[in-house]
Amino acid sequence: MIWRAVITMIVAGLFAMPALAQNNRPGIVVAVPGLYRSLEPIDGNSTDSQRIISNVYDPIIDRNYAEDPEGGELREALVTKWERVNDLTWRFTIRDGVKFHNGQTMTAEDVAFTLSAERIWGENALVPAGTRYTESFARVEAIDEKTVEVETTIPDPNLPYRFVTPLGMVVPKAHYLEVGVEKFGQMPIGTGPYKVVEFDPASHVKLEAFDDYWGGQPPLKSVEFRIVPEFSARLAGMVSGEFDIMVNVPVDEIDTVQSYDNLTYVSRPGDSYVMLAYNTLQLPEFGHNPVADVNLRYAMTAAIDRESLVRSLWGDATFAPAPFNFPDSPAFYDTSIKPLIDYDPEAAKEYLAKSSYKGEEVTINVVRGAYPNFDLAVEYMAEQWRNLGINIRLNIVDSFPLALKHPFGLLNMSMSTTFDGTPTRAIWGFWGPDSARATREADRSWTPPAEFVEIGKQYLAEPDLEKKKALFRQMVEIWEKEQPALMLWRSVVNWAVSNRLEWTTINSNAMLFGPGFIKVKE
Amino acid sequence: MSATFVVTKILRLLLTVWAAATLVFVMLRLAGDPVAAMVPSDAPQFVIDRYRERLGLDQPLVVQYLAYLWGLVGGDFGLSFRTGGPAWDIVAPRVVPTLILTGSATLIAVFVGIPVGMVAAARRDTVIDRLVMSFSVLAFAMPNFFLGILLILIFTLNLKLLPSGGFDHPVSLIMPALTLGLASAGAYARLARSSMLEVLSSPFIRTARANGIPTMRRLTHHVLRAILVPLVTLVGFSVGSMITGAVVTETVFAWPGLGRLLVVSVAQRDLAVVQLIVILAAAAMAFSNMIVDLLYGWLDPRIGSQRQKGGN
Repeated sequence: MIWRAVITMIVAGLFAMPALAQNNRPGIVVAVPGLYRSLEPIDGNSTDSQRIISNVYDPIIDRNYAEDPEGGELREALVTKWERVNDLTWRFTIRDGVKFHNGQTMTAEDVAFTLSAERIWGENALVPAGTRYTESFARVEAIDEKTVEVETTIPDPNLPYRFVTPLGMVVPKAHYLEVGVEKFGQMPIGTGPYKVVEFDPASHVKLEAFDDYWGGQPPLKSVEFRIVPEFSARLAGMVSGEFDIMVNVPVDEIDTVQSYDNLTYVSRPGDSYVMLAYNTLQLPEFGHNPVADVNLRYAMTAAIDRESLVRSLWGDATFAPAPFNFPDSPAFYDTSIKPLIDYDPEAAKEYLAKSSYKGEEVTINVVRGAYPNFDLAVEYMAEQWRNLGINIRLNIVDSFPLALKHPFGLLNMSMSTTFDGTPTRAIWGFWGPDSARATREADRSWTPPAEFVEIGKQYLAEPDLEKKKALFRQMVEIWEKEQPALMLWRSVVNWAVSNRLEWTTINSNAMLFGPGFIKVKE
Repeated sequence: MSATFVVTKILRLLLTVWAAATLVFVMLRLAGDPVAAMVPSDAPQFVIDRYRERLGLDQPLVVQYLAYLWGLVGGDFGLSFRTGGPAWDIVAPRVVPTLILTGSATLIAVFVGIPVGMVAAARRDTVIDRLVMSFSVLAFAMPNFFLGILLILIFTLNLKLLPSGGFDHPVSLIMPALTLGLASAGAYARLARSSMLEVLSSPFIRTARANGIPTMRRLTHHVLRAILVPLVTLVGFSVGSMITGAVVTETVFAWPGLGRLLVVSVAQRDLAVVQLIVILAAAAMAFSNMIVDLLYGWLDPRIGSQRQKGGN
């Protein structure tokens, strides 16, 4: 009897051990400068939410970050197989046994709803902001319990790449429709390694491990993203051990962070490019706009030594690209390409002389602190342009609604390249005929030339990579001739990390804490 | 204190709240398109239009304003753009943290500022007086964010004694309360000192001293009561400045109060929430001033009777 009791206790103890190990998992606190109003994948898409939502949702198809920080290859996630049925139709087979945080099993219906017209691209859609990812969608349908079909109006050989974006983050249909977009964004349900247990956009988000996660046991018991707006307070909390990771180290404070033995500074290229958009439009209702003269735009671009500017601000953390020549769309990247208008002070004077500019005021609208180091860069550029003889007025404001409105000559802008293996999002999403730059009443700044639109349509429909690249280069050529923006640098994301963590960072704002990405040292 | 007096005060309070509610309604709509803060900066016009429709922002401004006022009358403060739920549900949980912070700060201001000012007056022109006055000027003049960051650097970064912010533990209150309270304490100390000097030289105190009333009794029973009128006025005013000061302090210390919520909601253009916080702040300010007015009558009955004679 006694032996049986002892054996029972040992067996029970062995079974209890994993549970004990789970409970002993550490939690971490991440100090962030802010949180966005929503954690719904599309409605909440923002720099602040990107840091969090990859831990809450899984994409239909994932980028293989485990082997490459750029995530250049695709890998299975919530679907295990995808195939092209014909030119216009793709078929996706969903993974078995994936659970949502509310305990329900994910179905093909959930995946189809996530991509549906009802949610994103139809009349009166729930989150119309997602149409940026669903261009040319014609039909999304769960054809059986395991299979979803997506049909497009034009052939899209890169369709699976769209599902690594927030579009592909699967939401539970029934719950989503029951609570509505806004409430869902406050207490979201996904299939990711962590579930949201508390969310207050003015103070913190708390995630807890979701132990039914299909991808294995999450390595942390909890993750709290806490708003600490002041850099000094974030740093103090890191040094004292109150926080484990802090987001955004100002460039002039990197040395300070590195001077502490218990912290490591980590920096990576981000997935967007910052720039100043020129207002190429002459809109009489807002008065005369001198920047509508292309020669003035050439002069302004030629007056800026972007390489030196970027080096002095960022060292070798990032670079100044030729327009749309981005290493994160590798098949379209060519190191030999130079900008049409490059730094050339003499040429700048000549372009200015050729222009109709007569000393009118040129206003630059900038949101203070919109992107790291941007304010400094704009002040430097304003001086360069003043030296050239341009009457610059810096209009630095505190919020986007104040900046994104006419009249202006130049406007701060960030262009995300949302990975799909092509520069489509950049060249067409941001500069095509339906883009914000071309359509918004309050701050539109260019009209894409008819030729650009025509070639763009051919580019979108072209399945052959070489031909697609040639069409893309023609579009860039037209864009550069029009010169509707001055591209500055690829964004940089950085963190200070406690030395007690072993954390794999990726080339994105996203902070992955799922299995295989983070470990707390004993 | 007549009923007319109280009713007039309440009507004034309502007028102040209406003026604040109207001002914030207009200002928020002048400061750029709210939808521009809610959608990505690359969202095309049709997306903006759909959000505007859904939120009722496509209605004429007058229609929006009347609906807003009608809602206020019925106690409906509108729906938050962020959650889709009532703005009150977002604001209500923030009231207590702000009350804890501003209440603690007021206690620090009163119980540090007034005694210190009285000591300085009692020791006029001594080293103590000069030290007290120098520190009070420094505390009053130092911006909140600067003092806050200074405290974080000392107590969190170097001494590792206190958390840098948050609302998790009672000790989290120490630094924000000190930051907010010390600035007001400086103002209280200066006012307490000058008022007390004035009272000390007045005939009734000289008479009390000549009658042999002990110093402590003179200070607590006669001087303190006489200097309370200006000090209560200052407390009334500082309720307003505490709430605006709390915006900065709550941001520095990540304190989850109304001030922090206001900053976030303005940035996100969550109109109903911003409007409600401003209304609450205006009501708190107007209410505290009404209480101060009522207290005047109790502290110095001459003021109350004069007002009533003046029909006020």
